Amino acid sequence: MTFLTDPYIVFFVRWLHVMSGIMWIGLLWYFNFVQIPSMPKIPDAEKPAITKVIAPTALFWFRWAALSTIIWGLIQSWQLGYIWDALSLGFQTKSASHMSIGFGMWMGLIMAFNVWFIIWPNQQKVLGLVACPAEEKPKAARMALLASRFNTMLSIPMSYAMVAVHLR
Amino acid sequence: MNNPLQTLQGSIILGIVITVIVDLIVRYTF
Repeated sequence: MTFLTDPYIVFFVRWLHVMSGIMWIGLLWYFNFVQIPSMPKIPDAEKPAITKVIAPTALFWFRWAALSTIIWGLIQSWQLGYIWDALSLGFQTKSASHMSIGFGMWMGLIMAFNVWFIIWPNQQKVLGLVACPAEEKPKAARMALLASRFNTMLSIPMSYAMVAVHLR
Repeated sequence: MNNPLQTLQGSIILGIVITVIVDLIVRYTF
């Protein structure tokens, strides 16, 4: 087991966590800053290029990157021995850096929950990947949009809390 | 006026506000 906390393995896990996080938040920002604002400007006849081709592929990498980020991050915090103290916001050891990373971890966990249990099920309905009555589609699209916006909002303090811990 | 979360600009501003609040909590708790 000591092999798993070898400094190089710890570094390697951090690298996997950061790469997964770039894939996840990069695609989240692509959806919010590029795809969603562009949809009204695309003629209806050309919209299937987004909804049938690009969005399903982007969503595939988006949701698996979210899961990968969470798993490597939790492994990392376990390797460094602060997983429980960080998840309890540093109150066990009165550590500001554990509180900081703990805030980031909780925001990340909430975001990953949104991806898998709100955004993805609703996007499947919107994109026609699962059967859904036409009248339910606007509600599903709205839920997916709000959860995606909420995640964009949380990505700002989440990344701050994650990175700021290294300042202390 | 829509809920601020429905606009991208609103969610960015709220995100920055939450960042400052989180930073102040962490900075002055311990």
